[in-house]
Amino acid sequence: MRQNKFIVTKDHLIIIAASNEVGDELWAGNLEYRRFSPDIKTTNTIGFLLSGSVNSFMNTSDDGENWVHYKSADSPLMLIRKNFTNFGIVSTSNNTIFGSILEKDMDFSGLGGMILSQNMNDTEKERYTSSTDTINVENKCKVHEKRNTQTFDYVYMSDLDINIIPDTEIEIEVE
Amino acid sequence: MSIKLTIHSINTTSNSAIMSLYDGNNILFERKNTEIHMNPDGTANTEWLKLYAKYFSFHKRLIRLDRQEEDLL
Repeated sequence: MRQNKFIVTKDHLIIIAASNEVGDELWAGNLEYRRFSPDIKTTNTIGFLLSGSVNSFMNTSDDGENWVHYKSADSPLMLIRKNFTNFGIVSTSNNTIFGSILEKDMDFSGLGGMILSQNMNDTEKERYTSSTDTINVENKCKVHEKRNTQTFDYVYMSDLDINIIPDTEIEIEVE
Repeated sequence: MSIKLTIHSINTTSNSAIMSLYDGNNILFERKNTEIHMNPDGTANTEWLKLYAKYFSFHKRLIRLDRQEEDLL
């Protein structure tokens, strides 16, 4: 399972991804938004590995996924990447914490804007862009997305199925 | 663990019912007025009620599971 935490400071966005299983996808390069130009935010991102270990990959495909192994890394580690868009990171330990610090400037333009604008209402956008507030997003979503640790191929999980509750388990009583 | 849906009363005019739903020892709701699907003859549609109970219980089970898991951060 991966769990994300988001902290918005006056000038930066801090994203932290924690994983407790080998194979958890920590970052997969916002592939669906690649047709939009990367902005300053996505080209000057600082990444840091606080605990555990990871394998990282570069995507060499222009319109799909063709991952090539880049580096294996153990914590502690800090990296600055020119572009996180075609970059993938998968956890290779059961206790990995990966984070990134992104500039807030230009967040709502280009690729970053496409991602953020679809996930915020006007009130949230106003608070996000505030130069005086710091926001610690309380809800920390849990994500169950897996990648092959050697190839970064997506590992498909079965969909949730309500029929794991059989009809025979349901009793209807009319008073 | 069984899921029990109790229908206390049905209002055929508004297509609603006062119902309670339990998942084992967990009270999901009690005596709640809810819109329901009826059969053409005005009786409760038990197939729909089973599906409703299944969806509602499954959703609540996922929430309980989520709360039992400790945060990683």
